[in-house]
Formats: sequence, C-alpha cells, structure tokens
Amino acid sequence: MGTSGQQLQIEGLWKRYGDTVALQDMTFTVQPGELFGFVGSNGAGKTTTMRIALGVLSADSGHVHLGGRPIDLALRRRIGYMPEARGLYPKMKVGSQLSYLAQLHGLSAGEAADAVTSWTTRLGINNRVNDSVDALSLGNQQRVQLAAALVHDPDVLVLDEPFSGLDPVAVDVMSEVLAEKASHGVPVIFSSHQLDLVERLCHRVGIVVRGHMQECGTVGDLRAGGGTELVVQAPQASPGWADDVTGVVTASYGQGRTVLTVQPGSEDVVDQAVLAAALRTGPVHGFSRSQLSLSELFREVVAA
Amino acid sequence: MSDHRIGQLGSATSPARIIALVAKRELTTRARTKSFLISNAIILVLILGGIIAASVFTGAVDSHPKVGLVGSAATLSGALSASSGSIGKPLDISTQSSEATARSKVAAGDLDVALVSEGTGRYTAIVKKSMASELRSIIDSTVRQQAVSAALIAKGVDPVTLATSAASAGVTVQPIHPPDPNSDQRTALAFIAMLLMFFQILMFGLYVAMGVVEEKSSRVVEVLLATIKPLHLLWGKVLGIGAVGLLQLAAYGVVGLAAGMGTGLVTVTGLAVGVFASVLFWFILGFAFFAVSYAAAGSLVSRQEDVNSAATPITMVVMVGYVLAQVTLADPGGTVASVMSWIPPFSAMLMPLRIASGTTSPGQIVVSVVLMLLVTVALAKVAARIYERSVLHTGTRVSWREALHIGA
Repeated sequence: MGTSGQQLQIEGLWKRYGDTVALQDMTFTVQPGELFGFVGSNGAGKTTTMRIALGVLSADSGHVHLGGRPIDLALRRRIGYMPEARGLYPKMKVGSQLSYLAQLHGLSAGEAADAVTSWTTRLGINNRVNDSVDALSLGNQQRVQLAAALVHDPDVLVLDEPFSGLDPVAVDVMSEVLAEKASHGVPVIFSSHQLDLVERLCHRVGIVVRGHMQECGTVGDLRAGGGTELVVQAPQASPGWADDVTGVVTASYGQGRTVLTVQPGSEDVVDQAVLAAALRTGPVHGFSRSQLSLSELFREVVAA
Repeated sequence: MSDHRIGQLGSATSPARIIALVAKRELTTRARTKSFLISNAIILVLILGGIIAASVFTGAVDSHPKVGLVGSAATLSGALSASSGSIGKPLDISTQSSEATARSKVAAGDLDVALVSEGTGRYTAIVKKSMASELRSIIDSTVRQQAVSAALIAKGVDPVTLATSAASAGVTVQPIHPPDPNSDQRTALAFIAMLLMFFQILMFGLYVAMGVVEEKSSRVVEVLLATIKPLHLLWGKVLGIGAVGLLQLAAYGVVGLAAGMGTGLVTVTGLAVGVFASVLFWFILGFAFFAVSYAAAGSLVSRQEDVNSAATPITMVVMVGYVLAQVTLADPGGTVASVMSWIPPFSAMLMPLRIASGTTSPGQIVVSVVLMLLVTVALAKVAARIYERSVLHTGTRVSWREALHIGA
C-alpha cells in the first residue's frame, strides 16, 4: 500500500489574484480511505486549491501536509492528479504516453509497461494503446486522463471534475475505481457539479463558497444542520394555519399545499404537532417528511 | 514497505533520470516521424548529388589533359611531364603507335591532343577543335626548350652546366601576405559552415519554442509540472531537440565530407575535418544559448500562431549574426570579424568561419568558448525563470516586459 494511509491536510490557504481573493483561509482534511467530495459554484476556489496542493500554483500563505509532512516534490510524485483542463500530448500514442508519465513518477520501464496494460484494460481502452490520443473520442480521452492519474499507483488522488463529459458507463467505471482506491486506504478528493453523484459516492463533502470552506462533513451531518422539510396537502387549510405551531421555522403556503421547515433536533415532536394542526383544518390528503438533498443543501449554503 | 519505496524513489526520480526521460521523449517523437526521416533522406541525397555534380563540373575528377605522342615525338615525354609537373598541372602522357590511331583517339575524345613530329624540332598538334591555352603554353615551352638545348649542344655548351650556373640568378618573390593555396576551399568550407549553423539554430530553436507551446496549448504541462520541476522539463526539451539537431548536422557533415574527399573536391582533409568539428562544437554552444531563449519565448504564448511574434526579438539577434557572418565571410581578418567574434552569441556563428579561414588563434578560440559558456549559463537562468513563471499562464500573451519584470 506504499505511503498511502496518510492524511491530506489543507491548512489556511490564502490566494489573491490582484484585487480578487481566490482563497480565504481554505482549511479541510481528507482522511486515509476517505472519498471527499469538493463542491462549490464556478470560481469558488476548488481548482485553485487543488492546483496549490499539486504545486503547480503557489499559495500566498498556508500549508498542505501529507501524513504530517509538508508536501514537496517527492511526496507530490505520489499523488495522482487529473487537472480541470485535461492535458495529454495529442499526437502521442496512448500507451507510450502513459508509460512516459509513469516513468516520470519513478516507475522503471518494465513496471510502467505492466501498469499501462493493467489500467488500460481496467478502463476499457486496452485496444487503443497504439492510437494517438487525438484519434480517440472525448470520453475515451477522459479515460486515458484517468489512467494517467492512476498509472503510478498513487498514494493520494486529487481529481478536478473527473466525471464531467463521461457517459453513464464511464461514470460507473470511474465511481468504482475511486471507491476501490479509497478502500485501499488512499485519500481521494474530487470536485464535481453532479451533486447526486457526490451524495451517493462520498463519505464527506465540503462546500466551498467564495474561497472558503463553508460547510464540511458527512452528507448526514450537513442535512442535520439543514433541517427537515415537511410537505402537507390540506385543500381546505387557509394560509397561516401552521404559523402558531411551536417548532415551525418557515412555512410557505400554496394552492392547498404547504411546505414547512422545522427546528433541527425536535423534528419527531414537531411533525406530529403539524399533522394535528393540519387535521384541524379539514381533510389531509398528503403528509410527508423529507430530508434536504445535497443540491438543496448546496443552494441553501451558497445563498446564505 | 513505505520506507522501501521511498528508498527506491531517490534514484528513480533523480534529476538526471527525469531530464533524460524528457530528452528521450523529445528525441524519439521528433526523429521517428515519417516527415523527418523522409526530408533528411532527401537532403542527404541532395548533398551527395550536389557534391558529385560539383566535382564533375569543376573537373576535379580525372582532370589531367591526355597527351598522345606519335613516333619520335616520344622523346618529349620526359621534358613534358617535368615542366607540367613543375607548375602543378600534371599531364596524362601516352605513346601512340601511329598518327592514324592518334587521330581517331582525339576524334573520339580519348586524347586531348596528339603530337606528331615533323622533324627538326617541329611538331603538329592534332586536337578536336582547339587547344586549351594552358596546355598549349606547356607544350610550346617544352618544345622550345628542347630546341634551345639542341642548339646549345651543337655549339658545345652542356645545357645542364648552363642550367646550374643560371639557377642562382633570378627573382625571388617575397609576399607580405602570402596567398593561401587553399583559400578557395577555405572560403567554400566557411560558407557551408555558416549556412548549416544558421539553419540548424533557427530551425531547432523554433522547434523548442513550438514544443513549449505544444505542451501549453494541450495543457499537458500541468500534468507534467505536478510531477517534475519546470527546469528539468526545460533542459530535457532543449537537450532532446538539440540532440536531434546535432545528429542531423553530423549526418550532413559526414556525408558531405566523405563525398567531397571521395570525389577529390576537398583536398584539405585535415582542415575540412577541423571545420566540421568546430561547427558541431559551436552548434552545441550556439544552440544552448538560443534554445533557452526560444523556450522562454514559447512560454509567453499559448497558441502556435503566436510563437513567431513572441520569438521575433530572438530571431532578430540570429539575423544580426547572419549579417555579421556575411561580413566575416567577405573579410575574415577584418575589424568587424575580429571584434564581433569575441562577443557571445555572435562568436558561435563567427568562430567556425574564422577557424575555416585560418584567421584565428587557439587562444582566441579558448577565450571565446569560455565567454560563450558564461553568458549561456547566465542567460539560461533568466530564461528558466521566465519559463517557470509563464509556462502555466494560459490565455493572453505575456509580454517580454512583464516576463522580464517578474523574472527580475
């Protein structure tokens, strides 16, 4: 397992471009074996954070540590990186390109050849190793890019938007590979706008707003912070019927449909009180309690 | 296990191995392309063909005039070869059995001239159309000399004694600037050396700039720089592309020299090999200087179509060198040539010319090499810094002013 099983620590990163503040005190930790989802609006600072972690950009201040050691070139070689702007030599053959990158990461020519065979097979591009990259479809180029991040058996994975532009089959392959790497103790961090995917795959999620880590935790934790939503369908209820129920935080009244959020922590008591209040208005056709999806949480956090 | 791997990493990722890997990729991807192999095959064939054509045209091959002596004219043989040999225009002399045979051989072009004795020092020269004036004067003077000797002997004077006593009289020419008998070949060699130098430096320098931009525009540079240092990438690229340029130059030179010597076009073998070696050596220095500059220029832009404009200042310097080389070629010992050939980077272009023309000293060669090395190392540092700062910058072009400012 190499040097995996180490913690990736991002600590107090600041970065300014002229008057624009790209990162302000960006701080979070990815545990060994953890799949960490990095979400945020465009321009929030996800790519900047990843580029600083990989040393292709320098921070104005702050640190990146791997296993408690400040990250340097030797440690960086053990990271598998997929940049947001995909980059491969367009005219170079898939096989020799992957082998070259593997050797730059320190593999011998023989080890590199084995790694290329195993990863191209795993990712379903083993019949394309002798084609030049620009002869491949975008989806297959993306697979080559993932292979480039994995070919040296990295101890950490940092992937910027790995799922964008993939077909559903490739999404499944990618998800599987990331989960497998994490199960081997590799900390995996990836950014994505596909929040359902992040919600499904990740152990923990970080929501970045304007260069700062606004919320960070398991999806369950974030939901607990976001509260519970109740939807009541009571056609004869008049607007304002639920305003006096203790524990209701917000209520929006539509055509016989009311959406309420309740105070976190006391959902189980409050929802029964709401139901009782609804029944007093007349017939109740629907009553449901739902947790916020990550997308809703995200919108809430960003809007806050 | 983790310690074991870290132990291995030390050697597997040493700067030398990384630079070698980058250089190897540059070399193989460039030298293996079909267009590269085909164009070089064509150029080598052209060099070979051109040299053979030139040797035929200048008559270097089998150029000795063929003289046939008929009957008693054969007595001229010794005197003819002696006098023609003394002025460096040897003749190919043969005896012919009859005038008829000699005539048919002249008509067929197997002989340039047939000499037939008409008795008492008179000869008829049979030629196809006319006789070359040089050949005519050799034959004329030999025949006259023979007649003079015969007359002297008849008067009881021994021509050998006469010749000995007359030998001490005469004019000795004492030139202040003795002409170099090989000056034509020297000039030709210098000219070829200059052309090769400029083509290789301009072409391979631009390859470096284009290679840098290729990595920027394909964005692969971000993957690379997450793994290796910008300096290692830069030097690997310069070395790899430079090696291709050097190999190509060596191939041209070896084929050219072999053909030149084989056809007898080049007779100053030692000088030619020396000039060739100095071109290779100065190419390495000149290329290193310009390649790092071209790499810095390439790092300023993100698109191939902007390469030329970013590289303009460097190309201008190369062109100034070209003009200086023309001046040097015209007057290798002149003031401009001798001053500018000290100054880097012009020394790289001018020194091979001055070495070819024989107007420089070992001392100047050594000092100008050292100067060139010092300047190249200093420039490489500045260029590398510009490269490091600009190579990840995408989008708009970075101006030279900005690049130098942030580099300072």
